[in-house]
Amino acid sequence: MAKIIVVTSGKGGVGKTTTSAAISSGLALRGHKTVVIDFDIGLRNLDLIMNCERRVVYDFVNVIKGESTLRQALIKDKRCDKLHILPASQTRDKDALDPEGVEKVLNELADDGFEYIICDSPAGIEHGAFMALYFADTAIVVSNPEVSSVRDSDRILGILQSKSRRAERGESVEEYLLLTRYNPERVEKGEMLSVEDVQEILATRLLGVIPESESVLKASNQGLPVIYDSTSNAGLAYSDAVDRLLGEDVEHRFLSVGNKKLLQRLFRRSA
Amino acid sequence: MPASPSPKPDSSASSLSFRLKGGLFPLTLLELIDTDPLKLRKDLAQKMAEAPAFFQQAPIVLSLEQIQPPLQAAELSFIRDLCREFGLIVIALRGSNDHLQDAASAMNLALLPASKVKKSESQSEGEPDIEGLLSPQTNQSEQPCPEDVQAQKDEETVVRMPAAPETKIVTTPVRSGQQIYAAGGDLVVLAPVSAGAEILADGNIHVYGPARGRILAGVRGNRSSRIFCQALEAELVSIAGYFKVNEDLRQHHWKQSVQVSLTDETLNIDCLG
Repeated sequence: MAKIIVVTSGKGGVGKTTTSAAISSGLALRGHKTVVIDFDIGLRNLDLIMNCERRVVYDFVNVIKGESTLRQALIKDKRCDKLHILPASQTRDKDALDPEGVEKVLNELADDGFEYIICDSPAGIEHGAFMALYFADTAIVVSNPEVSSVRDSDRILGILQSKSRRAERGESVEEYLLLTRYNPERVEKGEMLSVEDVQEILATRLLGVIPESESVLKASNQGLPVIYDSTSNAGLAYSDAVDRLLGEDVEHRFLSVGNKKLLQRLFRRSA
Repeated sequence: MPASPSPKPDSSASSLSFRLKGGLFPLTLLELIDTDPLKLRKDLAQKMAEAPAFFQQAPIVLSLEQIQPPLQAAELSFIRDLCREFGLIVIALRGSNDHLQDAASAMNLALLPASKVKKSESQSEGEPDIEGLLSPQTNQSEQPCPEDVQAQKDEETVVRMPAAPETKIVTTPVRSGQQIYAAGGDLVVLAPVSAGAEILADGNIHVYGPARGRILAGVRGNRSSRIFCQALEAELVSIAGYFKVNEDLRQHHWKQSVQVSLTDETLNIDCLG
């Protein structure tokens, strides 16, 4: 049974694609056969972050329209052979996705033995985002510690529990919150919402808190998912999040200033 | 709104893929008085604005009994589309003339027999004027007596029971952008109500969790309805159309357990316990 996980947020630029790349790589590195699908038709980014943009021949829309087979469109990750990428089309728009087509592709992936299907959602609450979340069993809602982002996450949680296929069948979608760009120093100064503030508003299980880190930008530009960077707090936090997704009980870290400084000291010593 | 949940089929039942059952459903009757399209659109828009939740995807019966001369097929199609635009689903016609029958069947509309008392002017005929219930400032004590659609004639099932007020219980968070309406009764929410969410009830509203959205009790004019909440952080509270917004609410009892009630034209917010 394949598990379909949507990475969504409502708001743009909060780190959905970074998270999709990190989580899918993390699952594959732990030995699970995983595929990550870019649902952001027209604004294709995932292939850049995964560093496979030069190998894109066919895409998700081609498969839906029957212009190529799924096998032709899937790109095998160079770093981990358990991971495959299904890129988005850059030349079409989001209306090219239809529920029957998406369902067909998801079923075919499940029949191919994929254990995890990660759907990287576009921003917004329109058709593209809806297609990405409709079939989800689990949702990772990415949010920044900032009021408008949290409000949009709340909105998307409402849509998940009312408009998704599981909701229509009277079941619920398993929901997780992933807080990104977290800066404990700014939280302490009162410039940023704290984890507790966000938790109080959203009342959703916390999958992880990813500290704000230069390594995230560096990783994006290099086309290497940040989870591979075991020297960065962001990479370690993503790794913890994957363990939690797999049901392990891991304590949250990098939440306070002191904790961060201690780790920096440790790293400096080991360097 | 089904009258009762359908029981599970028992093993001894025949192998039919369905069963036919009688049911009584409350329906709103839209009685046309004027067919001028512009006026109709304007009036509908105004009415919808007063109680948007009430009309969401509401099935209605279109009554043409007051219309002279008889409606043309094109006009009927226009009115059906106009209703749809405002979220009303026309499911049947009442008092249609002979030459509309083909048009009605082409539009998949059922035909209901004309009411027994032709051109009734007063509301004492068992058809209360629902408008009075919608305008928030009127104090209407009588219960609405819904129009019935009978799917099956069975003398035993047609005994009309006075509708017991139904309580709607919500156990999951009400998120931003969601709207929950408890028609005809109370609403109990056992979870947070987020900012940007809207909860409405014809009766009382209870929120056991932070109440951050818009909370409207007695939306059909019941002035004795109340709001109870564990932590008042609402964007707006309203009883029977009388409301207070966030700015005013922050002055007193903010984030405390309160009840909200209405006396005369004033909303009272009192601490609980």
